[in-house]
Amino acid sequence: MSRMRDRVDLTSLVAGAAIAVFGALILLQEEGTIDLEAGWFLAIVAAATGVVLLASGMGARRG
Amino acid sequence: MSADRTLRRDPGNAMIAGVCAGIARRLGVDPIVPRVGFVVVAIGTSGIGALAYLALWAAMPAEARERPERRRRRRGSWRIATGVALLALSVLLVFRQLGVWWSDALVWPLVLAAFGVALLISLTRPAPEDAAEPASEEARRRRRSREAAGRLSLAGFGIALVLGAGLLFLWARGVLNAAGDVALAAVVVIVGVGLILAPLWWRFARSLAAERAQRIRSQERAELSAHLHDSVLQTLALVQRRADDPADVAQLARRQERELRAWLAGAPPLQPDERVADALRAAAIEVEETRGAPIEVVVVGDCPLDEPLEALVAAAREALTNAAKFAADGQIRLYAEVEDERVTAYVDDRGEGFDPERVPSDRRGLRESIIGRMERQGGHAEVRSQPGRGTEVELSVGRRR
Amino acid sequence: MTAPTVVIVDDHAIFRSGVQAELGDLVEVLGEAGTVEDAVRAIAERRPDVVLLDVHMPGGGGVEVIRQVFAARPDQRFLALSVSDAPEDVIAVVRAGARGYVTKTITGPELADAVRRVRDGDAVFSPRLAGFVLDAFADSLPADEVDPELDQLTAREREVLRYIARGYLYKEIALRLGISAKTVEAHVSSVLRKLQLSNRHELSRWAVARRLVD
Repeated sequence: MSRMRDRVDLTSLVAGAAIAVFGALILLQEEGTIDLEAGWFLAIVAAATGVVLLASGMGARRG
Repeated sequence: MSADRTLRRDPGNAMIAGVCAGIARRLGVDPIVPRVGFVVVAIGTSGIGALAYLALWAAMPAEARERPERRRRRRGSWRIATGVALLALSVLLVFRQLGVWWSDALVWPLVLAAFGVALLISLTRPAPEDAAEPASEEARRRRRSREAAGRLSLAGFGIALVLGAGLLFLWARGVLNAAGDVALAAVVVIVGVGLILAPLWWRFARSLAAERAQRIRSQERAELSAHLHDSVLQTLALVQRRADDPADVAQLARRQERELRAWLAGAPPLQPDERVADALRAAAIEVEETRGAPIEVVVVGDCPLDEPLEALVAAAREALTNAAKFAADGQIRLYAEVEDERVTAYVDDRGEGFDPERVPSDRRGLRESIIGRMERQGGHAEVRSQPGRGTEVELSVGRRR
Repeated sequence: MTAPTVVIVDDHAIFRSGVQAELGDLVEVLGEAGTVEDAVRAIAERRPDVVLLDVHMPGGGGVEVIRQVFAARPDQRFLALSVSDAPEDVIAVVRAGARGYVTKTITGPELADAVRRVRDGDAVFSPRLAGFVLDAFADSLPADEVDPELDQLTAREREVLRYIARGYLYKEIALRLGISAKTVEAHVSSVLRKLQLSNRHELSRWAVARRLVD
């Protein structure tokens, strides 16, 4: 029996989380609860993409 | 392996100087974590954080490693680098939103130039060692030219980034207004061509990688076959031929076992001229081969060789030779312990032993030679023996610090 | 004194028969096994005094056998017997619960003696294992990290280990140090306990290195 723990796929986890956060922000934007300018969105998108790439790269190294 | 408490750089795992790798080692995390932290802080503090890196580089001593860990930077490196770059970009954008900003005209060219410079710097470091060198001269040349081409194109890209940064800055300042349209057109063309060629380049790179992986696999297989053919098969053939001389067979088997173990462990070759543990092992092997007496070696700790320690190794070799001559049947053992202040070695055998009072003249000379050697270096030697109970030679010398 | 009973676990059939032949009448062989599953089953059925256990086997190796057997029989005694003398292998299997480690170049009578000693509750250290232990416990840790019960060797324990590394038998060590053989055995058992339980960095590193590969 293999003794390796099943590794949760980091990339999918992080990507899912990023999309969830992004979706929540857009929802709040539409509801009018918060009001973000385009610059903020750009920053958030860049951060989300960066984190996903990072997770993917680290996953590739560990695996 | 010392567990000293000073924070050390880790040049074996380094991207730049191993500062972050060293920190990561201490904290027990992947080096990427402090690296991301540093980049984000450096950008957020407009570069002052980078000074902290330089300060740490100067202050942290390097890890004294005997055997560098295999570089595991290759896989996922680009993804990680891009991810970090995007994170840094997002931090910059946040600051821009918050109004903590110089001006677009200033910051963006700087960022571009920084990336270009970083790329160029990373190219000046030697490429990490791949698997074994290809066998033929032809393959070697091909690989070298391919590597050169890769590095050249990356260098070109880096230079283009820096030049582009400069141009951007000038354009923003309005200096280029006259030539502005032309320059803009040129830039657009370059970018367009780049985008068109990108997929082709991507596919080319991937096929290169696949080909290299295949080549490495077949090389390893060839190496394994060659090694087995050269050493193990030869030894087995010899063993069959000398089957009625058990001592000879045992010796052949021992030698082959030792070689194969070292090869399988991927151990670096012994450095008998530089490290005392290797020197002692080499001395034992030498005596074992010439005298045909098996010698078991156990060494605790290690340190670089210096003059007193060379004398210790020579004395140990003499003692071992002596044991092999007079006690070939008994187990001969060499035990050595490297401590901070001194190195101690024991040569024990279970041979006939002798009575120290009645010693034949040739052996007395040997004993004095061993004791003399050690005492000349400020060390100490003792030879103890009892008839029928074997012999014990104790050697010790202080380390030169 | 009855002959100790053993089960031999090794994935090389030729080696298993070789060991059986060498042990001869000195030890009673109750059974043998070549895989992890067979080993666990045979040990549960035959209940030997000592299990002669190889380190490298497919399916998790000797460490896996120990782990599974201990779940049902925590008192089972294991003596590891292996070609390898790399610290990762040796330390990993001792920390998993083996009470001794010898290499496959050992002679029949010496092996039988080792089996007997493990059966009687003592620890068996080969000279190389003694060297590894001295190496692992060589550095002094800062005071706040040290558990004197587990993370340090006493001076006497070091002396005993040094003699073992030099190939001395327990009787000879007892004579040299002017203590009884029982005391020597007690020191060695204490060292075994520290080896198994200490949190020293080197030890966990060596133990983990193996687990990742299996």
